[in-house]
Amino acid sequence: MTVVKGAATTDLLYNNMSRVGTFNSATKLLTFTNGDFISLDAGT
Amino acid sequence: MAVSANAQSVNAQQAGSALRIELHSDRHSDALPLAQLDGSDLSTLAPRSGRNLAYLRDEVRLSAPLAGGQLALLARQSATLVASRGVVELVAAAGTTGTPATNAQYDIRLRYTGFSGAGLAWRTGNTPDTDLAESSGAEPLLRAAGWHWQAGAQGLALARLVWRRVDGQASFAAGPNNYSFDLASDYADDRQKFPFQRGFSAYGTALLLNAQLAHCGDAACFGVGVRDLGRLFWRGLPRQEATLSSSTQSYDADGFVIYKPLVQGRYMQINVSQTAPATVNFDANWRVASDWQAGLRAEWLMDFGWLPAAQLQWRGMEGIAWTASWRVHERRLGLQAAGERWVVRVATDQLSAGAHSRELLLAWSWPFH
Repeated sequence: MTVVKGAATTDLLYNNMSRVGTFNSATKLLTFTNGDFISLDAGT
Repeated sequence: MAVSANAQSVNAQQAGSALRIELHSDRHSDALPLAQLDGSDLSTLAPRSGRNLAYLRDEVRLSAPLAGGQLALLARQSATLVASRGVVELVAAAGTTGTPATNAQYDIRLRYTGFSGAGLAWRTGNTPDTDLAESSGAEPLLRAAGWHWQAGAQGLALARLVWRRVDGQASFAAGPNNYSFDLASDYADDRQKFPFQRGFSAYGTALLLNAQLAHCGDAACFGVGVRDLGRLFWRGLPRQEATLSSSTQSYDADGFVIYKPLVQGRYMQINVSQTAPATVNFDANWRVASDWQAGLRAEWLMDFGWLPAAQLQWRGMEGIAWTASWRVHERRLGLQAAGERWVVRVATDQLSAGAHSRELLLAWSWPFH
């Protein structure tokens, strides 16, 4: 799993290829490509 | 005889054809003054016991007779919010002081549906020129003896569709000074944005049905009807289902602490079909004296309940019918004057800027042959 940071979001990649989710640092929500989301507090 | 002659003169618009334009705005808010509905000043939030109702109904309609019925071009926006007292109390506590003074429990139940759009409406019946559901003209409350019926449909292109459902419990503990939540939410909005969202239809559609049936004798009329019975459609509308629970720690069977997210749910885009906020009305009208007629209405609003109203009409002035109305839940007094080609109705619960309920109706008819 790799992490690619954007301006306000952080993408999660599988095998450096497939994007499986994105984390929004403002809302603290991790959203997967199938639409599921959960809240995280990553301390960022 | 005086009543019959007056009825004929003020109902002249019904005899021929007329192009009619109508502007109608009907707004009410139980918990907040209408001027504060943007939420800028929550200090004025004051819940009523039981369910709290707020609605906004604005409509512009241009109608003309066609093929035995009435065809109308209309634009409307409609929003209805029904919230439990707990919702309003929680928003008032959290939005103003931040925390209540003592322990508190909140029963959360919220239903909101809003849409706006434009389209066509068709109405037919044995009295298609006048709206049986509304006294929006100079016609008498007590109609001619016999059966009266109307049926109609609206087809709208929706520019906006929103709904929100929230159910659950919330509480505040004064000791640790924190809130607890256990809520489930269903939220759909054409302006909602979320990650990995696909393109979707730029507009929705609405198909709404109306029907009225009344039977009148020489001294009284009884009627029943339904309005806005139908569905709201939108292909690919963005929708979110979520749960919010402050119980983020629990223990598994081996006694280990497990953590759960505060918020979890799912985004989706499906072809939604939502029930429109329909109303059912029961009416009774009768003659009080030669120039006086009275009426009672019980209107049932989906998710809320009954909204009773009363009317008193005076037809003693040649060419003008005067109608006073009182809506019980809204505590709103209205006055309507209707002539051969025009109608003006104003209603309010108070004349100050703190009004919670207001209505304005303006209509004008141009006869043509």
